[in-house]
Amino acid sequence: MRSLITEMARDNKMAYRDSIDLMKKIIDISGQNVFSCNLCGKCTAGCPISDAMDIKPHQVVRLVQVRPEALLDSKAIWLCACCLTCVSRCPKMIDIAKIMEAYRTIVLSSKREDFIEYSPELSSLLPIQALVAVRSKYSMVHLPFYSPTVRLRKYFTRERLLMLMGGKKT
Amino acid sequence: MKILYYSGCLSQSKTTGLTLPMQAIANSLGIEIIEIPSICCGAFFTKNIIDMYGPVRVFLNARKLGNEVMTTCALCYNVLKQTNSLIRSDPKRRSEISSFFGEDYDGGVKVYHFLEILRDKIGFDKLSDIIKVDLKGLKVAPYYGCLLLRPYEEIRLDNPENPSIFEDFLASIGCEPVDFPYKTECCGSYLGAISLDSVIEHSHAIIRSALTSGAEVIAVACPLCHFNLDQMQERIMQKYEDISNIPILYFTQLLAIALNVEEKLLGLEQHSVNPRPWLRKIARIQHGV
Repeated sequence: MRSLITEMARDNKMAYRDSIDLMKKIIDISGQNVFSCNLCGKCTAGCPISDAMDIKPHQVVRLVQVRPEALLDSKAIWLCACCLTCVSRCPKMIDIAKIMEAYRTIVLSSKREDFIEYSPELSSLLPIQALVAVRSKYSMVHLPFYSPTVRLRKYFTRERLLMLMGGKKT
Repeated sequence: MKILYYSGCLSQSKTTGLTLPMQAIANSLGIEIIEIPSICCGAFFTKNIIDMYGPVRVFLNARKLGNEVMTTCALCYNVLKQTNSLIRSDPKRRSEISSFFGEDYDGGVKVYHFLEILRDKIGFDKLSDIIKVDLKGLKVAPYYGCLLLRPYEEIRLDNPENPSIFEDFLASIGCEPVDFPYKTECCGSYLGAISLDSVIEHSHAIIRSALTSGAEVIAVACPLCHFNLDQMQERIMQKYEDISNIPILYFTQLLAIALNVEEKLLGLEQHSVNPRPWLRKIARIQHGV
């Protein structure tokens, strides 16, 4: 087991120690015992979004055990709809949605920017509940170190400020 | 019977069909509902402390008036129940929240869904005596979605894979519940914000499954399910040709129809698929034409 992890980590640039740290962090945030998984695949069979995912739910659990860094840039963690079908069908009671949430928290806190941009067309189309839910899921406003000034600074560039104040046009 | 009622952001938003008939329903059922100040519940449960501001504030407002809260929205129900169970099981998070609000909250306010009230406090057999309009023989497909049932450990409303509360409710108001395999599948909910195609695909599967089971109308309890099945139906039909128009109604609207609540209180204006032809069919059955 140990040698397998070392081998995998060596291939993927990430140092062995970092890989183990990331795994511990995921297990700590999600509170799930990923090692109890017996790879039956019932989660993937039931998942409504699995055909759009690049890494399937049962592979996610396996990858946390052997190569946790592979999931950091995957599409799967953002596509999970948190419908919890996988949780209710898992014979080992592993909450995969919580693992996905742990990954989202880690990625958002390291990137320090929102995952999606709201387009005006989308905001007028979707109901308010959807927008609020999307805000909690894909944005990092709620993370403690986030400062709203980052976003404001991004929006109020020098050109836009000058334009708003009716100043000189370039 | 007196109960606190939390309507959430629904009463101020576009989709009012779920909450608009509630006052009239409560009057006919003989329940007194006291609405607690509305603040958004957050709409998505995460363990982050700032996201828990909404639900905990709801509980703190409710605690001044009583210790049982009822809601009709599946999203609010899910978020409030999960917050309660997290506070009860995690003393560290509880102390963080109490220092944030300056008030200690122990997770003691009980949360009910309106279906739960109908089942446990009023009783479905008693409900069938109260109804005024006979909806006999109307085939309705109950669509649960995911938020009403899962996660089972925290919610405990009904079996997460094979529930029956919605069917029992529909049978008690006289409809004929249709069993269809997609009743607990996810419709994609707010995933429309990043992948509209996958929402269209899943909503199509649900609608097709209900239609092939012979349903005339789909009953929902969640505003996002309603949006994905009703407002998106036009886009679904552009992409797939094997479905026809089917009206989507909230369970409160169906109950209001059965209790003979006047039509302007049903909130039918927001529906993109017009349910009025279906309502006229009920009227025809009533008058025996």
